[in-house]
Amino acid sequence: MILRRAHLFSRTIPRYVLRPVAPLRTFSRIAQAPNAKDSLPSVSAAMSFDDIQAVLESGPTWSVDSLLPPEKQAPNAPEITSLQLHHLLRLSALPLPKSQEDEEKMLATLADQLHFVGKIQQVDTTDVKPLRAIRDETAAAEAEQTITLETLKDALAKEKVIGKHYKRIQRDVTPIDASDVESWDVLGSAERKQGKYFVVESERPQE
Amino acid sequence: MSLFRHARQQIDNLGRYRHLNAFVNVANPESVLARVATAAGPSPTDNVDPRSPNGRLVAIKDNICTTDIPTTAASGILKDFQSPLDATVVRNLREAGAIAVGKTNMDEFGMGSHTTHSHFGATKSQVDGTDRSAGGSSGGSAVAVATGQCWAALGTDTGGSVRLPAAYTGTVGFKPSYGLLSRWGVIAYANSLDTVGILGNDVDSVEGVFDITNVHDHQDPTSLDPTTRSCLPIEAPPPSRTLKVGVPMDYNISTLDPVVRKAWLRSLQLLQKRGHTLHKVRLPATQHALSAYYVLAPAEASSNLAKYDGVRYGSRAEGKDGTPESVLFAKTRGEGFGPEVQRRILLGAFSLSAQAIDNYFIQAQKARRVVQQDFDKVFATLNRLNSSEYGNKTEGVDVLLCPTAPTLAPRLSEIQDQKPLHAYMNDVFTVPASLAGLPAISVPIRVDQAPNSENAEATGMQIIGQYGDDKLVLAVARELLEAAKAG
Repeated sequence: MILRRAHLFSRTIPRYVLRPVAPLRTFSRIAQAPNAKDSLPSVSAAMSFDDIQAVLESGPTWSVDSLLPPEKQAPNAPEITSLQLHHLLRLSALPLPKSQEDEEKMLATLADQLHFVGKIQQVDTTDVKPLRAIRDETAAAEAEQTITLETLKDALAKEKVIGKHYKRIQRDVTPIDASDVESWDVLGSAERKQGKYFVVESERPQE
Repeated sequence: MSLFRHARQQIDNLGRYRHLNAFVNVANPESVLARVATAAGPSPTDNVDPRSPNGRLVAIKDNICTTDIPTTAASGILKDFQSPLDATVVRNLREAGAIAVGKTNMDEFGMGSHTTHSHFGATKSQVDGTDRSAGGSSGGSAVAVATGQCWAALGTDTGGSVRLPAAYTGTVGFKPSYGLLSRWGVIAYANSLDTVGILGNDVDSVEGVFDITNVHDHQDPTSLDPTTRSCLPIEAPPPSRTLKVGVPMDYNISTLDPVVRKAWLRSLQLLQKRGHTLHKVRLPATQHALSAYYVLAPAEASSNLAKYDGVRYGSRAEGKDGTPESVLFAKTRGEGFGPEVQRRILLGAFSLSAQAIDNYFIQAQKARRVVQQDFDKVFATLNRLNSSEYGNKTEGVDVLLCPTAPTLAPRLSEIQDQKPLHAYMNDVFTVPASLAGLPAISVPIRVDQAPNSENAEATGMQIIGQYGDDKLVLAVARELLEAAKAG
């Protein structure tokens, strides 16, 4: 089964193409981390409790501290400039730093975070399809989700074509009962409103 | 004890444990008791189904919408928000006769591991007289359960937010497979990972709530559709079946507290004595799971939280919404969001920006696939989400058993001055199952302590199953707890 899946992969996934310019990334001198692709068996045969105990007590396999930036040196992360920080804050609709000190703190935190998450760049993801959502990815499920003419048959059957020289579809004007979705008070939760409008107070922005 | 007496006691506990700050808002006690009396019926006999939510008090995490109590997500921006609708999971529970007793405290929008990042102040967990972390982000729900302020509680688990609080407070916390419980009416943090979870004092109450809420919801586009559901096992295997229990070596990290390792060994021994076999397994992608998670969750959060501007709902800052010096709504968002939320939005904006998206966001989604493949390799059951052939492989384990957190609940004083990054490390054991959308449960396992020990007494042990094996995971949890009780 695994073989079959691997085969499917190679057929359906475009090969990963290296980009000519690699933008912002963490350069790491750490040796290639253990990867899911190595050939050691993933599951052992049944073991006695004593053997399991001996393995677990013989020492850790890795340290989560390895993800943290070193105390003394600068974190291994792309440098974010003050200009970039302000740009990111504007993108996030968040206020700009109040002081120089505030800004330095923000930059330091961001650098720490980027060191921490930059470790994913050590993972060999050649030919790996991104996992965007947990959903049924089988061919059967995909077929079921696909909208075809058959799915729309009932809706299409309601269309009435009129006209002799200029054939067109006549709109069905029978009112649709949407009371279950339209019966709520749209302005009900708004703090500031004027009549049937939301109120937003803004001066003309610079840009 | 009758349902009414249980409820009465739980209402009393609301007052007794108010100082722990487990709730943001509570329902009116008289009307709660009146509803219990109606649900319980005329004969208050002792014969109460341990799994039935009927006439039971359920606490709801404050990011799950309720019409009768405000829904704040513990954020300043929603501090007065009253939802016009009930979340589907709340409706499911109400229809089964459960009564919402209150909304529990949490880390703002679910972002945190200690329930300290709340607009309404931190939740405390008190074990042996010291103030300890309740875990996060569903810390309020966990404390409410642990101190008998409700029968069961709903939480949400994005990267461990139900399991970690359960481990820290000695309760049972279950994160079902992604897509089984509806997220409609649940305030989104990272939608591809967010899962409604359940906390209780035993597996029965948790399973009772799970059975009621595990239904397809057409209003939630990520709810698993009925066709796929029909391929999942409905019942757990018979208790007599010998299970293969996997022991993931990559969870044996250097910062694993020796007490936790001891509890892990004890749990393995208990299961082996019950006739199950132990297998060493390797999940090497575990080492990158945390980094991948902290790219994906903030990125999704920065997108999900973009809608909070105080215009249609939520709180608004005083004065003008936009000036030439600041972006529109920046003032409202700066005042409404707490510091951790702002940090994560900023990090998310970075990993989604044009210059970084390939090396961060897309790379993290690929790393997430590697984590899923890792799990698929070790489980005996094939993953029904990517394999239409339902069945078993010849090799592989049925469940994995590992700790829920590397340490016992830390003291609140210890985490006060911690860098934001340090709190992320608590999720190292819970994040992998979240990335793969797998069912996982944390159960409290006690280890014998030296009398002068400072440590909290229970550690959380985590049982992880293949996608859709929720009933198996619950069954193993029940068996492990029974075995631990028997000694």
